Parts: sequence; C-alpha cells; structure tokens
Amino acid sequence: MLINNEFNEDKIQSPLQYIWAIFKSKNIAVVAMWFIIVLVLASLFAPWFFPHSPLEQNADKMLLPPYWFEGGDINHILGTDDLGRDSLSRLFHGLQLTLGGALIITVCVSLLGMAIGASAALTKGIKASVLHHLLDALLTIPSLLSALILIAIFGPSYINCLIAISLSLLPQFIRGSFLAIEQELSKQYIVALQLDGATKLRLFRFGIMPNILEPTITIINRLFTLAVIEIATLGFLGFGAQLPQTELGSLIASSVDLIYLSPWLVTFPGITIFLVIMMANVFAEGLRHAVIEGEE
Amino acid sequence: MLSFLIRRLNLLFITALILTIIAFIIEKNVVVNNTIIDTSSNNYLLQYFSYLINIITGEFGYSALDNQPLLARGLMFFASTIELCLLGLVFSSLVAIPLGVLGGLFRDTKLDYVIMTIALSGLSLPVFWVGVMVLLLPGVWGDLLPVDGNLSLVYEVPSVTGFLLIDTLFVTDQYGLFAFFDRLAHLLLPALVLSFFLTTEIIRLTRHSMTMVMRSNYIKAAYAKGFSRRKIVFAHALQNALPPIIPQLRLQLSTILSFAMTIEIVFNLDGMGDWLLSSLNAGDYGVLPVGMLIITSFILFFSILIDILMVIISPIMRGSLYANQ
Amino acid sequence: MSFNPQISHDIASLDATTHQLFSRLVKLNPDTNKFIPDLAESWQQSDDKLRYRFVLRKNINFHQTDYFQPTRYLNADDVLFSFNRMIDKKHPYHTVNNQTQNYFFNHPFTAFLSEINKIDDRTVEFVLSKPDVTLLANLAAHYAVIHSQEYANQLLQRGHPEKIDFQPIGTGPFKFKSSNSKGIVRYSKHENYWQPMTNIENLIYVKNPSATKRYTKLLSGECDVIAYPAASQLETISKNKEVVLNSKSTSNVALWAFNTKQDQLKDSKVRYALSQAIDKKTILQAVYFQSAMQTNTLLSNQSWAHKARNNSDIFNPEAAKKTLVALDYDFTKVLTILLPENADVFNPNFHKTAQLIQANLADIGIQSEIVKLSGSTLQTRLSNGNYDTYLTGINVHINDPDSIFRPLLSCNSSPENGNSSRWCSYKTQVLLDQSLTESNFAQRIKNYYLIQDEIMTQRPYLPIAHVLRLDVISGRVKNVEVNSLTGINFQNTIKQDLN
Repeated sequence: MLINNEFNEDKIQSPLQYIWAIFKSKNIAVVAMWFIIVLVLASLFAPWFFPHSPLEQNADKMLLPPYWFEGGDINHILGTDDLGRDSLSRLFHGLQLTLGGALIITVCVSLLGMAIGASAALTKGIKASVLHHLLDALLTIPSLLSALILIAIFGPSYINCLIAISLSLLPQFIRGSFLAIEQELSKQYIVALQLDGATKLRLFRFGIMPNILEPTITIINRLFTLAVIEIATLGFLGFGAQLPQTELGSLIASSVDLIYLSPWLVTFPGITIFLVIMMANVFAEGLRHAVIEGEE
Repeated sequence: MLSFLIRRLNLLFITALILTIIAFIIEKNVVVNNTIIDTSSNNYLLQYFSYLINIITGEFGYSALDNQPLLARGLMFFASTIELCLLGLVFSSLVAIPLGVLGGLFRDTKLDYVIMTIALSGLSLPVFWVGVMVLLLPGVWGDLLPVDGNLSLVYEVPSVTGFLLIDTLFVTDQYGLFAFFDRLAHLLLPALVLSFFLTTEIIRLTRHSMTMVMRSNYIKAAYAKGFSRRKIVFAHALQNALPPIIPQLRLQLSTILSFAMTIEIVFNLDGMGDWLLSSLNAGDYGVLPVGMLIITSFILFFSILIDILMVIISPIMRGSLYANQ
Repeated sequence: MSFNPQISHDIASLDATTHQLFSRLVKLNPDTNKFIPDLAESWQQSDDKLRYRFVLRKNINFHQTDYFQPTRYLNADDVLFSFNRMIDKKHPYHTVNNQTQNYFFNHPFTAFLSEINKIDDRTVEFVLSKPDVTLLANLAAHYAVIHSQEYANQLLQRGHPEKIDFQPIGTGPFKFKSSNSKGIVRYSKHENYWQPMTNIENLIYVKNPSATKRYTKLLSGECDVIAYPAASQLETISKNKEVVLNSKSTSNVALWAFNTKQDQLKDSKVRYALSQAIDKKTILQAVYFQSAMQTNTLLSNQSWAHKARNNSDIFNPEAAKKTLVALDYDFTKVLTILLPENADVFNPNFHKTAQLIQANLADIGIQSEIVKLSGSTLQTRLSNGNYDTYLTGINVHINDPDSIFRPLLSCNSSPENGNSSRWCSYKTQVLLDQSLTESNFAQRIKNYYLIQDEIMTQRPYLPIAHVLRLDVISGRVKNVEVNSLTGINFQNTIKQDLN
C-alpha cells in the first residue's frame, strides 16, 4: 500500500472539476453539449455567415425544395419559402428567438425561483405558509392558461410572451427547489452545521447548495424544455412573436396551408425544436449522471 | 381519519380562496378593460365579496357572444377535455407501464437506454407540430382516421353529459354504434399525440419507482428466500411500485391539461383550450376567469380525492392518518 | 352568427342563408343576364320610372317549424315588412340586433327607395325618390330576401324580436333546424316549397377557418362541398379525380388603396409611380397561385361597361423611381401599409401581399411599415384617416358597374364602407349620379368609360387581381349551382350513395 504513495500525483480536484472530468467521459452528452453551443453561436451570429438574409425575397425561387430533392438549389440548402426566402436563414433567425428566449427564461426563472425557494425553505411560520398556499394555488393553473391570461391583459408580443411563460413556470420551479432544499434540511449534517451556529446564508451556500446539484439540474432541464415548448406553442397560436419577427412556432403556423405543396417548410422547424429539446435533455442527463457518480 | 380529512379540506379551502382572488383580479383587469361595466362602487373588497357570492351561488355570468351561461358551457367543454385526457392516459399506460417496469428492472443496460430514448423523444416532440404533421397522414395511408373535428356532421348527438363518447351511446337507437365509433375515430389521433407526452412521464415515474422498490430490503429478503425473479417482480414488486406513481402523476396534471388544450386547438376538437382560444379571439374575455376556476377546482378536488384514495389503499400512507405533523 | 342576409356582410353566412332559407321577388338568369320572376309573378314600371308594381305569386308557404307555424300564405305585408325594416328608421325592427350605426343595412337601394305601398294583398308598389335603373338588380341581390311578417309580429308579442335573425323563417327550399356556437348549422327540407322539391333531406354547414382542414374533410367524406380551398393546394386538388374543382370568375377585386388625402400621396403622379413599382405578376404567383386573374381595372372584363384598352401591365420600377425623383418625392418618409388581420375572399393572405409590396417599394427606395389590425380598431383607424395605403378589395353582389364604383369612389361613401382612398372628385361624382338615372344604355356605357379613364390617370386605387370563386365538390354530389354573384344553391342537388 505504502509503495504506491510515493508516486501519487493525484491532485485534489475541486468537486466541479471532478464532475467535469466524469462528464467528459460521456461521449453522447459531450456531443449534445457541443451541439447546443454550436446552435446558440450559429443563431447568434447567423447574419454574418449565412449568404441570405432571412427577409430577402426572391420571386424566381419560390417554394424550392431542399437541395437534395429534384429541383433543389445548392444556394438554398433547405429550400425556400413561399416568398423565395431562404429556409435555412429563416430557421436560424427563428431559433434566435426560440432558443434565446428559452435560455433567458431559464436563467431568470432559475435564479429567482432558487432565491424564493431557498428563503421559503429556510424560514418558518406565517411567511412560508402564505407562500406555500399561494404556490399550491398557482400550481393548479395550467401554464397555457396562465400565458393566455397574461397575454389577454397585456396584449400579444414576444416580450409579453416571455414574461407570461416565466411567470407560469416560476411556481413549478420554486416548488421544485423548495422540495429539494427541504429534503436536504432534514439530514443530519445540516443539523450539525446549524448546531455549529452557521448563519442561514452560510448554511445555504456551503451546506445545501453543493448537495442539491443533482435535483437542480433536473428541474432546470425541465424548465428549459417547457420554456422551448411553450414559446413555440404560443408563437404557433399567434400570441408570441409578431410578424415580421420569426420564431419557430410562428414559422410553422405560417406554413400550415402550404403543407401539401412544400411539407419541408413545416417539417424542418419542428425537427429543430425536437433536436434542441432532445440534445438539452441528453446533456442534462449526462451532467446529472456525472454529478451522481462524483458524489459516490 | 376525520382529522386528516379536516386538514386536507382546510388546505382545499384556503387554496380555493386564493384562486377566487386570482380570478377576481383577472376579471377586473381583463374583462372590465375590454367591456363597459359600470363600476359604481370603488371598494375592491366589497366587489370581491359580491364576486365570491356570485361564484358560490353558481352565477358566472353570460357569454358576451351568444348569451349562453358561461359555467354550463365551460363545464361541457371541460368534459371533452377530460375525455381526451382519459383516452390519452389509457393509451400511454398500455405502452409506458411495461416499458417503465422493464427500464427499472434492467437499469443502466442497453434496453434501459433504448427505453429512455423513446421516453425522451416523446417529451421533445412539440405537440402542436405533431398535430400539424398528422395532416400529412391522409396522403400516406388514405382517409383512415379523421384529423379534425369532434364527430362526423351526419350524426346529430344531443349533449347530455358532455362526454361525447357517452352521449353517442344514448343515440344508439337512431345510429346504432356508428356514432360511437365515429367519435372514437375522431379522438384516436389527438389522444395518441397527447399520449406521447404522458408516456414519457409514466415511463420515468414507473422506472424510478420500480428501481426504488427493487432496492428495498423486503425484495432483497425475498431473493434471499430463493424466490424466482419472476415471482418477486409479479407478486411483490409491481403492487408496491405502481401505486406511488399516481400521486406523482397528479402533480403533472396541470401540465397534462396544458398539452391537452393545445392539442384541442390544433385538432379543432371541442374542449377547454379550443373554447378559451376562440372566445378570446372573438373578444369574449369573460371566459378566462371561468375557465380558470373550472380547471383549477377540478385539479384541487382531484388531488384531494387521490390523497384520500392513497391513504385508503396504501398501508404506508395510512400512517399519516394518525401522525400529528 | 346571424341567419339574415339583410344584415350579414360576410360571404360565408350569405352563402349559407340567402339561397337556402329565403327567396327574393325576382332573380337573375345567369345565362341570359335577364331578370326572371321568383316570388313576384310579374312587374311593371311606371312611365316616370319612379314606381314599380309587383304582383306576388299565389300559395307560397313559409317554413313550418317547431318555433313557428304560419297560418297564411305569403302576401304583400311580408314584402312590406322585409323592406321597411331596412329603410324605415322608425320601424320597430329597424334597431333590432343593430349594434353598428352606419354599417347595418348598408345596401345600395336604401338611398333611393322612398316608400313601399300595399296596393292589395298580392300587389306591392315600390316608390323611388329618383329614377334608378338598378332597382331590379337590387331586388335580385342576396339581401333582398322576404321575411314573414306574421312571425315578426309573434316574436314582438313574445318580447323576443331579436330571434328573427337567429331562428329564421323564410320561403326557401330548406328550413332552419339548429345551430351551435361551433358554427355547425343544420337545415332540413322544406316540405311545402313552392318549386320542385329538393332531393336533400338535411343540409349541414360547418365553419372551419383552416383551408387545409376543409380539404382533408372533403377527402375523408365528412363533407361534400367546400368553399374556398387553399390557393396553394389548387394544383393538388385539380389532379384529384374524386373531386370537382368548380371555378367561376367574379367581379370581386383585390385592391391597394392610396389615401389621397395624405400629403405624400396627393399627387396623382406619385400614385401612378407607386402603382408602377408593384410587381403584380409575383403577387399573383405567390399569393393567389391560380385562383385569380391579374388586372389593371376595377371592373372585370365580363362587365358590359369594361373598357378593354386599359388592361395592360404597367410594372416598371425604373420609370417609377425616375418619376418620383423628378417629383422631389420625400424618400425618407415611411409609408404605412394598413391591412386587415383575417383573410377575405378577395385576398387569401393580406400579410404576404403586403410583404411583397414592401419588397417592391424597397426596390425603388421607399421604406414601408406593415400595420395589421382587426375589428373595431381597424374601423377606427380607417375612419380617422391615419394611414397612407390600405390593402383591401371589394365584394360585388350586383352585376352593375355602379355597385363597384359607388362604394369605392363616391364622396358619400365612407372609408369603412369602401372608399378607403378617400376619393372625392366633382367630376367622378357627377358621372356616377348621371349614370344611375341615364336610360340611354349607350350613354351609360360612355359615362362609365369616362369614369374608368379618370381612375386610370388619377389612380386612387391599384387594382391587383380579380379573384375566382372556387368550390370543391365531391364526386358523389351532382348539380350544385354556384353563382358568382349570389352564392351557392343546393336546390337541385343530388347526392349519390356510393356504398
């Protein structure tokens, strides 16, 4: 036993580095991560490296099929829409709003939700009870309904749609983080920390935070998934992005009547949404496994 | 038992009260802004109480469009939504429970990964998109299943329960079972699309629950006794793994309804989602608070019903009857 | 949804009511363009052209339903009731179901019909305030239907006059059975119809806003006839052997109106230049596919007053730009393109049209902004004149040039009623008014030619396309009569059972 110790160069890694090292060994999850990163960058910088503007019309090239079909054009890889606009450019343009909006919602809601959830879990008495009942009530309202309500009050626009979705997803997130923290709080090491006289902030930062990583990944992932689906759904119903803004859901809605003539106009945006959610879930699942393995 | 009931009903009461306040705020903000209602008294508290009394007495007002009582119409449409959800639940349970059990038994094997990929795909497919893509089906396999609407127009079915599947059974002397099967055909595709999402949820929950049960001590004990794996799974594990899924699924109820409403809109099916959307588009904002109250009170009552049911069927949960917490 | 063609303005409800539930005094023979008797047996005109006498047919039955049992045949009182509701402001029914003041009974004849007299039970006399040749055309139009006075009186006694428009009683081949909020309307056969009985026992209408879904329903056999299939699917539909695509040219025209009261657009040369900038051919391709014919005139080429010489394509962006530069046009100003939110029969996709126009304008250096509104917000915006251009169109129900020129060009017509260019010129107005009373047919045509020349140079409107009326009819169904002016008629229809 002792002999080996002479050459022991194992650095003591920080938990995050350790988790990262495990994560890197999961190939599919790494691929998913890169896919998401590339997608985000591509949709952010789409105007710079796509040859066509998403709004550029071309009367001679209307409703072209993707280039691998007969009659396709290599300049328009995924074909064109009914005004001769390049489908690929429009797809990335739409992705900008769908994916970008979902990411913004995820960040805002998870920060706010974690803060509220933590303070609710760490306080007792009337405040927590009020929050508890309020959450119970809000959780019974389906998110589509609350989005409809908020949009009826404030009028349809992309920003309002984001706000509505955030507000409808917030209670779910608060409840999720609350339960995770609650579960941790009952464990003995926390009691030990409390007995040491740790302040609530310290308790949360060093006691609870590192240990709720796994459930947090799960609820953030769920939050992101639902955010993407709901942005697209509201866009499809005409309550999200208003023309000339393009969003994947509204892109599908505007092509429904062309479905027999040019089915790919409906197909590609849907597949894109599918891939985004799929990859995000694979990535999150990989991360979650890495965290579990890291903890063991 | 009594104290448990009282505790649950107390919770129900407070939550319901909060919901009526929310409904009142919506009513004030949306309905009043868009219609002309004289606001003679400016005291919001008084207004709220009169609103509350109206709700308790079942006075939900009338539609601005066709002068129908909102509550009756809302309940009718909600029945259709429930019908869709139930059928979707049946479909997905048929597929998801066996898959989830298999996934739990063979955790972290190839089979498990395949099952989880199926589950993930179900979640990742946007329901409205699937609903649109279904329009392409008639071109592929002919007009096998209708992709739009409730019922063929030739059948004139008076609405008795709101559940069209049941209503069509009342008119068998006129149309035989044709109306019933026609309704079933109309529901089939929407329910199938809804079941995608439900399947994901049920697979996940079943798999998790099965894993937990298989790790528990009594299963280990059963192994130690030398029972065959099959016997352990069917005689001991399943009956303990399945009941906990129900309260978990209950938490997803509002998401399920959300998806169901989207599907109704896409498939042009009668139901809550379609009713709310078409009323909003026509400028009748009064449906919003009514729709909200119907859906939320359904979820509340359903939750408590399940709580009580769980206490009755599950010996472990029965402990909470006596616990003082 | 109301079942009274007198107050409905949308094509869908007119289609579903006017020929199925009701009859008119006269009707137009689509082949000869002559007026033929319907409920009126015969009619004669007085020498001063101010009085028309109609003799009614005998033994005409109104519908017998569970909510009304007629005790008498149709008589002069019914005719009086039907028209007085529209023209007499003091009539007890005039304000029933009337929410919008100026748009309700907005039919051309309300302006010149001064009174209607009952001569005897079977004779009525229409008195005009000034001679007008369009009276018969008006009486054959979709809104000139005859209601039952007996039913109206009963409703008034029961205190529910509003029901007259929602539970209709008429003399047509079908009678009303039920309707629901989802837009499913059921009719059944009128057993005592005065003409040869229809073969159809039940007629069901259903409203479905998605053109694609309408077509899938036709394919699956859930319905037998669909109106207005998606323009983009016409090619697919015409290849399908199991259905018949019925297309009729109409006088309905899609327009781009210039607000002539706006400083920027006051000059007719500017308007002409903007017209030159628009590539109508692409609009036709992208928006209408094959469901319309490109046009440069307001009147369709089937109208007897159509001046053929004017119909040439003027698309020429370079010339347009040159003109505008020469006129010192302010290119920095953003032009608004106002449009309604929902598609109409004359334009399946307003937004797409606007996007194409926007691109055309950008080509000549003009920035534009698309403003999409609906309902009352749109009406307000139109009436306060806060727009530069408006994408619109006009539905024509009468085969007379006046019915298209007057709403669009008369000083008395408000923007909500059609004159969205806010055009008002003395010359046009005089020509319009003269033509109405002109009995010399050649002179009338000449007047209309003059109006067309005037419009061609002044350009308050850019006519884009004359649309086709399209219906797809299942192969199972025979003898559906579609009239481009007044709608669809199922009176002689036969449905074959293939099973």
